Amino acid sequence: MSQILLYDIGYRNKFKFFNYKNNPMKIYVNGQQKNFEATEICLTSLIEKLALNEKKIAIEYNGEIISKSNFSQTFLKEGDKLEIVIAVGGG
Amino acid sequence: MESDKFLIAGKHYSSRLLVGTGKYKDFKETQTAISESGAEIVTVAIRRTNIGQNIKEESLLDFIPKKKYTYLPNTAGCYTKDDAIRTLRLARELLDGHNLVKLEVLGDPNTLYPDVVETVEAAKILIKEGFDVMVYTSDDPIIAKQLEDIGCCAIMPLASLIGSGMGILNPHNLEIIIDNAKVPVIVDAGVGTASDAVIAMELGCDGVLMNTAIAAADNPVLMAAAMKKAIESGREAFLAGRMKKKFYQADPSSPTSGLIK
Repeated sequence: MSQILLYDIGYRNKFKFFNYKNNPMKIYVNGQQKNFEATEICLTSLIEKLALNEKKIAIEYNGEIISKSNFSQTFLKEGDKLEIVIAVGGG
Repeated sequence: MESDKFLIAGKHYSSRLLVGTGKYKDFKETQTAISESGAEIVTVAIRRTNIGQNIKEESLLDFIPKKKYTYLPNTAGCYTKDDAIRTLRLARELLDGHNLVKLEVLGDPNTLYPDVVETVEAAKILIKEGFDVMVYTSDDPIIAKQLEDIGCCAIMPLASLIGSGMGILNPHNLEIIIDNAKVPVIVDAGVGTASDAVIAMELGCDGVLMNTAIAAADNPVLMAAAMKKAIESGREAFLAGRMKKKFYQADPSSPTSGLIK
């Protein structure tokens, strides 16, 4: 997992010279495109990469709720859509 | 009044005031106001988390501990049954299998008036999935009854528009809903000040849910304390049974005999 590189689109545009061996995998987190240069990344590593591991969150993965116990067995693939939510103030 | 407990989805609560956690200046104020209100059930919204933000960012859950309060996740901002259902499934996962939810499906962004057709459809599905659904609805007695019949555990008609503070605009509809209901009826939305909460309780509502009336007061903590008393006072007045109104006929409270001559 140490080779996993997470960067955003803005970063990529800034460093166009940056070459990838493979096309990066595009996924969508809360409507934002995120690119990963990795063949295998699970939800647990995604949460760490996004610095969300300290937060109480829930994840919807392509329309399905994934329970916390299944995060490490759920691997991302091209085009996946994730919603990551928290509880906020509301009436 | 210790014995006058209030039952929702099989659980007893002492406070008949339910409060929202939105619109406060900061989490500290949220915490103090809610503590002062005496509320045991607090609503929360479910929203996308910020990505790539401060890891140590404060969280509502740190200030309103789940151990102390019953969380009531809502579907505020949902305009379709599908969005409301998705939101509550996420909420259940987020809150470790918690089933008690507040369903609201809105029909219009200006009035935030509920879309009762979508609400009924969403409620049916959620109840089938094991949720205990407290449902925000219009003050239409027929819809209120239908929502009860499909299994909602509390009916929550508006008193006036969400966040408007216009008070109880149609007390008679609320009375019809209360008379017909076998589940708790909780006024949700529209209360602006303590007297509105008293009126709702005197009508026989089982509780009142409010957010803006407290959070948007000049002094939210003091208003929270006022609302606690208003709810208790209105409830006691309802249970005590008010005197009959006598129109245009006074009745002295002091003896009419024994006056000095």
